[in-house]
Amino acid sequence: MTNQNTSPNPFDMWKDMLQKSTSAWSQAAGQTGSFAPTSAFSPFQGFNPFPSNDPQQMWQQFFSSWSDQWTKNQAGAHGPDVSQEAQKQWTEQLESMARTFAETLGSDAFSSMLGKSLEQSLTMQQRFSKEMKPQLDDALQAFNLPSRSQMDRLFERVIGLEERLDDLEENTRKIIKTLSDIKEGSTSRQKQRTPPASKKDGS
Amino acid sequence: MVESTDFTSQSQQEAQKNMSRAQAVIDSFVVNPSAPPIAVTPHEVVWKRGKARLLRYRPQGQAARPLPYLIVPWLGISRPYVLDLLPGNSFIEYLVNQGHDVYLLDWGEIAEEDKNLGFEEAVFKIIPRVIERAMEESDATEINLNGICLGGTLTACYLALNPDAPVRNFIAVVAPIDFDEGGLFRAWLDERNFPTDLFVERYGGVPASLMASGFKMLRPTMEAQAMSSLWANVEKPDYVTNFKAMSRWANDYIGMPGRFFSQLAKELYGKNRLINGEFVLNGATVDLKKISQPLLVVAANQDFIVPALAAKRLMDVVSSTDKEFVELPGGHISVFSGRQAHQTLWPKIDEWLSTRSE
Repeated sequence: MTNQNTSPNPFDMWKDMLQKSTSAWSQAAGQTGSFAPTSAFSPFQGFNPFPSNDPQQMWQQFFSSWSDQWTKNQAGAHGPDVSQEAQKQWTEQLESMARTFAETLGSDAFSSMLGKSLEQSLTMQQRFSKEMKPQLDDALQAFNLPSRSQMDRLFERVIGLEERLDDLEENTRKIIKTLSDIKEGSTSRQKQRTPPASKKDGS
Repeated sequence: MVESTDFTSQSQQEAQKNMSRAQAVIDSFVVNPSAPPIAVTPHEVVWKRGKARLLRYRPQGQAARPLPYLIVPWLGISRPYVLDLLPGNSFIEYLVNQGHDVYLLDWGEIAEEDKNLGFEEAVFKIIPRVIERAMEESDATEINLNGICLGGTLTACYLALNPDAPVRNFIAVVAPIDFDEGGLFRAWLDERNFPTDLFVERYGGVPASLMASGFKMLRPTMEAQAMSSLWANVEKPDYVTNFKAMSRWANDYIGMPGRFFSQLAKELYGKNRLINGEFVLNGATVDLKKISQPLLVVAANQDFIVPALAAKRLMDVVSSTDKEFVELPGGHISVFSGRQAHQTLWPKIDEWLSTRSE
């Protein structure tokens, strides 16, 4: 027979289970080492996803908080709206997870892993497209269809033409403005040069 | 026994509340999934070059302010309609209702064919032309210039290279200037790790899909947080309308031109050349000390894209004597487009300009 008073809280059970599994996982991966295959060519080499070196930290916090909430609810100490309480808890947990992610994603190790994996992927893509491009272009040509690079060149030319039009329009505007300034200037000079009739008479 | 009855009764109430929320989700997203109308403030296109367009929003209501207000937003990444998101929740609508003659530079939908668009084209051709066009359209001799995010970086470069520019006041909102304080992007774009040249050679820029991945990776819990808030507020129609509009915008990424990205990653995030006075465009060094206009620098206290320190450093390097820094509550976008912006940023800008634009 199970005594209800001693029945374990499900969050405690999950927490315990998760702690054991993350502990086993981190031991397998090596606390200070990488969690991924350690091949010399792997971009994950030397990457520790938890710079604080405690892979359980985030989950511990997460489950402890839910466990506390569960205990409170069972004791009838919950607020008027359990969903609101849960929402609050969840928001706090997400904030905590966001901080952990930020710490992980902002580490040099992650940056290095990201750069290496991107470089490998780009190099592979470049090789592949170098090999495949002539064949793809031939196939498209056979169907009388333009290739991507041909379309890009066309778009570039259209954009270039629009820019030239804008430059022409700009130059035209400047010329018109200059002409109008000259016209205004000459009109005002003419006015200045033409003395009033009374003055003329007097001179 | 009593406790158990209370618990059951409360559980029933909870279940009913959650049923009601589930019903609201079905009503708002299944029965009526239509997106709310966005970017509806009346405007006209007054200039166009390539994909870039200049939009004019004429002043309404109050007496028109004497100087046109030009907004230069970020280049690439996402669309600028977040500045005119919804009626009643729009920065541009607020400005026009305060009597500002607003101009918005829309860089257009950037794609691979724009790979040669860089700082030079933006700073030496596009920005001067939109300023000139705005002055001509409004029959003014000066403007107020507002750069947002990377638009603030671009406008700062423009002002530094054109000390006699017809700009009366300069407002830099969440604009990165000190890239050493550039948050996660600073770490990811580290020149020791990030293969910028290979990336640009392969894609011709940053495609929209990769841009989305990069920004979502910045904050992996963001969508869970948004969903969580939605569940709590799903019975408020205004919240749902705003959520739909914001979700649409937040998933509507566009690419970044290759040349611009290369300069940003290698020279700014990589070597922090702008703040160090070593950033050279078309043979001219960008010296931020040459900025002398009255300056308002705005940062957000929860900005993880452009942390407040990255924006604040502009204050230290300009020669403006009239300058003010404000750090407002909110994130990178919500500081100028969130619900709280009605009470914080928008009136702040309007008030700051009112004494400096006469």
